[in-house]
Amino acid sequence: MRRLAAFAAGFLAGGAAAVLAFGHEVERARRASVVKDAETERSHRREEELLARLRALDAAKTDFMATVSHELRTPLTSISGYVELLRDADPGELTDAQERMLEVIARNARRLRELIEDILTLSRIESGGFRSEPGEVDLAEVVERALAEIGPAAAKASVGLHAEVRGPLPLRGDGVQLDRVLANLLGNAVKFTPAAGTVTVHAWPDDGEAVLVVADTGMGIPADEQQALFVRFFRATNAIRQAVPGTGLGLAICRKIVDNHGGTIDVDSTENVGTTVTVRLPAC
Amino acid sequence: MTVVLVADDDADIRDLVAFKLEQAGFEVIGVEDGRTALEQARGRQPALAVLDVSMPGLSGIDVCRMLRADPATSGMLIIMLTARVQEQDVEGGFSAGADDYVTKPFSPRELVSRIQALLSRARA
Repeated sequence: MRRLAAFAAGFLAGGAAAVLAFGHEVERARRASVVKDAETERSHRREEELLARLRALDAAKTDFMATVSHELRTPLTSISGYVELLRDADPGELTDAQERMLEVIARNARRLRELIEDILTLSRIESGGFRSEPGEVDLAEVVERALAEIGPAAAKASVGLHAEVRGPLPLRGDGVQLDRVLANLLGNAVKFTPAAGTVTVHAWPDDGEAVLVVADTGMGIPADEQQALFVRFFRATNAIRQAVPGTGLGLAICRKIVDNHGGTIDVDSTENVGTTVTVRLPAC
Repeated sequence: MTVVLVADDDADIRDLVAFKLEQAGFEVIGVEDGRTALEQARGRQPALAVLDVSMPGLSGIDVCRMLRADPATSGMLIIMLTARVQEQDVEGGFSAGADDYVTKPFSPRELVSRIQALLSRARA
């Protein structure tokens, strides 16, 4: 299942990126060959046709992903909906064993939904940048929003949340995508930090860049696995062993979004000590 | 008894919503396509209609527009239900005149709460 999903996401997302990259290449080649003989004219037309076909292919891919997502969500609605009815004991009281089994179904339905959403997000952002027109975004506001959003989950997990934000941090970008980066980074930090641990967020302007640091005192990532962190569907062995839920797509999504914004993302981690993620984005 | 129309071509989802609504004390009319949804909405005048966006023939968005355009049904409360989650889809639902928009998969409990909230706001 995991291999199949990885293949599908790789094929759809990577395939489209390759198609677009190839499209840019064709465009460049076309500009270079402005010679006025009939032969060039013919090849020019062929290239135009090829480019149009590639664009159509990319549009078809986006359509296909929207359809796949729709087709998967519909049965998932019934699975999670009926499980909710049973767990609310609407049709009658449950035994402890039945409740435990339903909890497993609910958890896995949730996991499936997160996978669908993450695959869709990744495919959308990989095919080329922005979902909406990039505008001026204040990273300080993005951080504040994300902190407010993660607050209840941190409190529930008894994880302390500290923030020091020196704003404003204006940059050109897609606010929705940057919200996603913050949500993923803070979500990870809280998820992988045991009770009584802390998550600290720092953001400040630095020489034409906005710097964001999310540090936790969580389980960390084994040294020999850190290279693979941004690979799609990769999950650290200690996270799997401790049954921390996740799709393995969160950091791949973060990296792609940060790339799209011309920034960098780095992870520094020590197992059983904590993880620090540093994001640098060009300011405007 | 308050009547709610539930239109979805997926019988399992229709039954799911109907079960929860009936339990909450509503009378439910379940239909499986847009054309029947329109007929039932006009004939039975439910207080609220839950319309799935993707139905064969007339889509939920088409039904919503037609209900809004007809003075006899223009005031009906409408919740759109959809498995399409891109922004333009959500905007499409609201521009057709829906009062609320719920994406699949949804929690039946939450859907009923939203229905109750819309109805009590409309009565106030």
